[in-house]
Parts: sequence; C-alpha cells; structure tokens
Amino acid sequence: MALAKIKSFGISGLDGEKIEVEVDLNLGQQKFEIVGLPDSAVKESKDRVFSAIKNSGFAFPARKITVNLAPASLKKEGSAFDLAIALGILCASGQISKTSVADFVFLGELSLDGSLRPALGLLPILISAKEMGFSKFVVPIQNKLEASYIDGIDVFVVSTLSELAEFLSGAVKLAPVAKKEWETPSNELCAHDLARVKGQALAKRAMEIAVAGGHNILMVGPPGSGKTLLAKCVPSILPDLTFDEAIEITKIQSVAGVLDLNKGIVCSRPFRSPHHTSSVVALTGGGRNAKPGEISLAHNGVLFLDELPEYSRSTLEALRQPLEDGFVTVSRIAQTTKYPANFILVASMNPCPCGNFGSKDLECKCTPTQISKYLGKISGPLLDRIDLKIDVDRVKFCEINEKTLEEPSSAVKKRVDKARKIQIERFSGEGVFCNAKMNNKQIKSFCELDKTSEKMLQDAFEKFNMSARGYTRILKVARTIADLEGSKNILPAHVGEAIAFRNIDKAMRF
Amino acid sequence: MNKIILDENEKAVFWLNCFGLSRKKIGLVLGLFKTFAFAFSKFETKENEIGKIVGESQLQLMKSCRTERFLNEKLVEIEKLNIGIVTIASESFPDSLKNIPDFPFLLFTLGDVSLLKQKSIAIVGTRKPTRYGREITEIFAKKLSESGLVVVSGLAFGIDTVAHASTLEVSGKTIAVLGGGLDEIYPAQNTELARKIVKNGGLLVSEYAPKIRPTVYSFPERNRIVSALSLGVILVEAGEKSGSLHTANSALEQGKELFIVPSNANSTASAGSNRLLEEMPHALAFRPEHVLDVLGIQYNETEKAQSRQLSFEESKILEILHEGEILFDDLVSISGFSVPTLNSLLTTLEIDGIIKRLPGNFVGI
Repeated sequence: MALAKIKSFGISGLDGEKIEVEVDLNLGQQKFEIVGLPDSAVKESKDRVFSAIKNSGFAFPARKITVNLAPASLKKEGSAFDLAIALGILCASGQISKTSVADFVFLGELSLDGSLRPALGLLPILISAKEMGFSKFVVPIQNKLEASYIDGIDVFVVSTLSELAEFLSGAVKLAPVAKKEWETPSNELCAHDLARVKGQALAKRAMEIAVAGGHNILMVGPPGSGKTLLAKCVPSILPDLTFDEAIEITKIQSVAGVLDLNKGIVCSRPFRSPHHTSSVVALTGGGRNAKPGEISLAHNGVLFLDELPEYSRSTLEALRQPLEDGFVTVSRIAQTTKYPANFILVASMNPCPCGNFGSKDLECKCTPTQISKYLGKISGPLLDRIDLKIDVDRVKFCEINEKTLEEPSSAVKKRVDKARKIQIERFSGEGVFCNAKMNNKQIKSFCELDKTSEKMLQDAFEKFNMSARGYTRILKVARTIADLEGSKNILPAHVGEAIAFRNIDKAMRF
Repeated sequence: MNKIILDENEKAVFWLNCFGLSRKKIGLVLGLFKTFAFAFSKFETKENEIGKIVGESQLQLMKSCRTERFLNEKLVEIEKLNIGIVTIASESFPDSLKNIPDFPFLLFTLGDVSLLKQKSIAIVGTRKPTRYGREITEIFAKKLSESGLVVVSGLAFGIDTVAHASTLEVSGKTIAVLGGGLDEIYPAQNTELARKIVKNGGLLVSEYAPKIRPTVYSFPERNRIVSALSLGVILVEAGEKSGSLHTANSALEQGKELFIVPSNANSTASAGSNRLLEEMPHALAFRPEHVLDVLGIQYNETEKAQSRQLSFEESKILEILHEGEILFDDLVSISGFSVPTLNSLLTTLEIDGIIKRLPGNFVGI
C-alpha cells in the first residue's frame, strides 16, 4: 500500500494545531494534488517539494500523488508543511522506512536544493504539541535556539533533507538540542538609560510611578523636549522579565514572524512605536490571517504612541477595549483569535499643532479652532484610561551641558520591583496584578483614605473642577505612590503627589 | 417664552428696524416726527420725505408692512428665542449709549437688562493671549468685579473669554456684546460660556437681529458698544492689527478712560498695545486698584482666603517663588526637596490658592 502518514503542526492564533499529512501514491497519469484547505503558500509547496526531493538524490515517484492535510476542515497556511509532505512522498514510495518517521513531528520549509528553511511560530507549536503529548520533533537548524527553552521534549535539528534521511535510517546519530536555562536578562540589554536624560525630574518620577503601578501615561510638551527619549527609557525600568512572560512574548513574535532567530527567545520587554499613519488593523491585529497587531506585539512591554493626536480617531478608539481588558479579539473570515495585549501605553503629544501653546516665552501661532480640533482628537474615554498626564518642557542648554550625575535606571528599577512585589502579594487571587487594573470594588477596599487625605481630595475637587473619573484615577496613582514608599496606608502626601499629575485635564480647558 | 411688551414709541423704533435700514436713515426718519410713536402711527403724513430718504421701493414695502399683524409676527419670532428688546425709547436704554455719535436704536438682549445701567468696565485684548495676558486679565477681572463693577467684553476667544470666565468665577456680573445675532453664539465654542453668563445673572447684548451672522464689519461696530457701555476700557495685549485697538480708539472718541496694561517689549502678541502705550503713557495701568482710583470707585478689599500657618517647608518654597516663576526642575535643585515631597507640598499650596502650577512645568505665585 503506497500510503504514508506524517505528523506536523500548523498555527491557529497563538496555539499549535495538530495536522496529519497523508500521502497516497496511485496508478495513473503523473499528478501532484494537495487537498485540505491549503492556502497559496501550501499549494506552492508542490514545486518546492518536487525540486527538493530530486536535488537531494531521491527519485520523485512518477505516480498520481494525493496529499491530504487532515483535519480537512481547518485552513492551512504557511510553508512549514513542506518537510512533512516531502517525507510523506519518500515514505510512500519506500525510499524511507515508514516506521522510522512514526514517532516524530516534522516542521520546516524546503528550499529547492533540499536544504531547510526556518518555520514560523515554532515556539507556540512546541508548547501546544508538548501539552498534547508529543515528545519528538525534527525542525530546521535555524530554529534551534527557539526550541532549546522547552523542557521535556527532544528536538532534533537538521539542515538538509538528505541529512534527515540519514538520521532516520540510523546512519547518522544526532543528539537532541541541549536545554538552556532561563536567565533573568540583565538591564544592560536596554539601549536607553534614565541616567542619560538630563533634568526632567517630574517626568522621570511620573515614569517611575507609571511603571510601578502599570499606569498608562501621557506626556505633553513642545517638540524637542525629550518625550521620545523618556519613553524609550521606560523598558529599562520595567520589572524583570519572567520566563512565562518571555514565552508569551516569544509566542506572539514567533507567530508574527518578527522573532529574532539568533536569540530564539525574547530577552527584553518589547518597546513598540508604530507610526501614526498605522491603520486600525496594524495596531489591533487582523488581516487575512488574523495576525497579531502592534498592541499584542507590545504585550508585557510598552506601546509608545508618539504624537497621539496625529493618529486617526478610529485607531485611537480601537485601543479602548484592549486598554481595559488586556486582550484583543480579532475576528476574520478564516478564524477568530484572542491575542493578549497587556501593555503600558506611553503616549506623547504637543499642546497644539505648532507646539508652543502655554509656553512661557514662545508665541503660539495656532488659532483657537485649530487647537480645540487638535486636542479634540483624543476622546474623553481614552483620556480616562490614562492615569498620569504630565507636562514636559524644553530642557535648557545649561541643563544639557551639566555634568551632574542623574539617577541610573537600575536604581529606579529596584524601587519599581519592590512596589510590584507588594502589589502582586496584595492582589493574589484577585485576578489583577497591578494597581492600574483595579476595578471599583478593589479600589474601595485597597485605597482607603484617612480623614486628612479625604479632605485634601475634596478640596482639590472643588478647586480644580475635577471629574468623578478623575477621582478613581487619583486613588489608583496614590496607591502606587504608597507602594513605592512601602507604606501600607495611603497618606496625605501620597494623595498630594497623585493630584499633581492631572496637568492635562487643566490644559484641555481653555 | 417671554412676552415682549412694547409701548407705542418702542413699537415704532422696532418697526423701523425691521427693514434693514442703516442707522443714519432710521435716525433721519425718526427725526421727521415729534415723537417716535408717530413714525408708525402717522407714517403716511411724511411719506414724501421718507421716500426721499429710503427710496421708492423701500417706501412701498414699508407701507405694505405697516400693520399690527406684521409687527406681532416679527415679535413672536424673537420671543420664541427668549430674546428681549431694548430700544432707544425704552426705560432700560442706558444714557451712556445715547451719548455716542453712532448710537444704536435697538438692542437685542438675553439676560438681566438692568446691568446696562450699572457701572461697568470693559476688558478687551487679543484672541491669542500669552500666559501673562491671561493671568493679568484674570486678576483685573476678578478684582474689579469684586469691587462691584460689571465686566464688559466681546465673548471672543482669548482675553475676552478669560475676562468673562474669571468674572463668573467670583460670581460677578458680566455683559457680553456680540457681533451677530443672539440665537447662535459666535464663536460656537463659547456657547457654553454664554449660557453660563446668562445663568449667573449676566447679559448678552447685540444690535443685530437673530439669524444675522457676524461679518468683518460687525465686530468693529460691536466694539463701540463695548466701550460705550463702560466707564473705561482696559486693554490687555493687543497685536499690531488687533480689533481691540479699535475698541481702545472708540473709547478715546467717546471720552472714556483708557487703561493699557504693559507687556514684554518684544512680545508680538502685544505689539499694538505697547505702541499705543508709548503714544499715551498716562494710560498705563499696573493694578486694578489704579483703575478704581481713576474711576473714583471704592476698592472693595475682599476677604483673603484665610491665611494659614505655613510649615517650614512651605515657607521655604514660597521664599524661592517670590523671585518669580520657576521651572519645577530648578525648584527641586534649589529647595533640595525630593520630587515626591515637592509634588505633595505644591499640591497642598495649590489647593489653598497660594501657588499655581503653570503649563510647561512652571510653578508660580
């Protein structure tokens, strides 16, 4: 019977799906047919497989070949089935023994000369496959690092189809990929350090609070005031990346095809700064194959939106649900996928189109209509999800020139780590991990104020015309400030500082 | 819907205003009769003369519309918008307006008309003020309002808006003179402010009938009413071609006091007001008290917010701030306080109204 079955895996969302590649050789006119909802990349594998088999020194059977990718109802995409299809043909035609391939899962794209190319989304596939009970894999050598972080499975790497054939026949012995231990990546990996930012004491403090409590932050300031540099420093003070978080990030990057194969696993928190012309789909994810978007790529890291009002309104509004829930559901014809999107939003904007509105010395050249139109692009509901709003002003030359040492990121990070630990302990079993994600009930129980603080908040309300939403924002931020100081209760000083970060609400009113 | 009740004189003035005649022509027509009322009731007696003034076709139109029904229809249109009417024949028409050469015969009003006869001060300036201009306007508007003056301005962006809004903040009375009909506020962004003015016992005034949109020409015309209603005009920041210079001019023509607040010598936002100040240095005004002195009005020393005992840290901050506004960063380095401490200290001081946090991370008193 000229029939062979090879195990392989496809990707659906962030999970691997088991795909059985069945190859049948029949009598009849020479023909090569792939069935089972293949997309065009899969259909084209015919030609790659044909050449790869021929150029690896095997004979391509002159038969009517039918390849079925089972289950037939699932859409198959990508080129990672090449290897499995080629092996299926070789097994079915008796050039490779069927028993030798039975234990393995094969993944990889074929080149015309028979060498292998890396497979996309290997990490999520390995994780899913391991859960389903598969333990032996053959993958292209380029995916070696990606495969080395998963415990309890044997992954063999090969570079060509002929090498694989020798391995399967037993002529060559290969050792499974050695396991690597996860090491907490050091801070030095971050390119930007707060020590390099001169001045901006208030902005730095706000960054520290934002990161410690997972708060979103908006910086308002004229062009050239260092907003972007400050934002780029945020990853350097983010809490340590844990292995689970690293795997989550790697999975997303692997599926999106942006994973650095030289590293295999992501070692630093992502910092994504999509351009302001980005579409809704680019940001939230989607496209024909429901790929993850920028907000998912920023998962466990920072999403930096520079020049916030320049983004189209629909793009900004699309951020509202993910900012609230920490995930985004992408629905397309082919599939519906839920991608994680738990990020800290760091946004920056000018106070007006020309950037000088409210400046001490410079004249603003914008008309009031221009300004209100500019600021009006950012809706109230979106602003409500941003806990910290700060002014960033131009740095004076003497400040740039100063030789004084600024506090390095590592020192700030220590405080952040401590505050995060307090929060994780406090919220154990509550379903949230940081202050910013508290719901109203949690705010009530965890943000109790003493009389003095209560009075101060009330006075501030009357004095500054604050909204009810502003109230919960201040409570959350005050909680984080208290955590940074290691204080169990929220003290008046903490509330006082939290109130100081409401600048924009004031600027928006004129 | 408020009912507009007009006596015979007022009715005649209102009727004459329904035909889009110029002020000059209305004046000439009214001048033909012994009393205003006759312009409506005995219109036919002077038909020939009127024909010469307004032209034949206009005369025919007026003759055909000289009915109570026409008048009532026109009045109901205005009543529907809750707008009131004050004519030159009305009790509430202020003398200050009659004394200017090109006085209006009719004003459309929304709010408390009694304000027209109260002592008022106008505050006008650029549509694009600097922060300094805003602050000065706020200080003048609040102090003068607290001393019992009605603050008059034009509801435009910038200084006008700040003047109205600051007056409302201290629950003062303010009059906004508009350059278009009262049914649709211009600029539309100030609709809410206009509503607040009326709600707080203020007044909106316009010499233009509802549905008339403002034009380039109507704003300068509006300015003469702003200055006419006031004892004096305070000019805060006016650019080289600012319309508020026009208000200042009409104030001078009408013999009103003009006060000019000085600004930075190199500021383009106040190039016009500074130049005017150079020409007439005696118009210089630093403080609201000076304005009150000149106008002969008692300065009302309002109770300062209860000055509380300052802590050592707070007085240290205030000492630094007395030198002028300062960047937050500099305050950190001079005072030696940590950022969190300083933030919370400043918030307490700000709530008590002792200091201000300004845009661009500045702190000031």
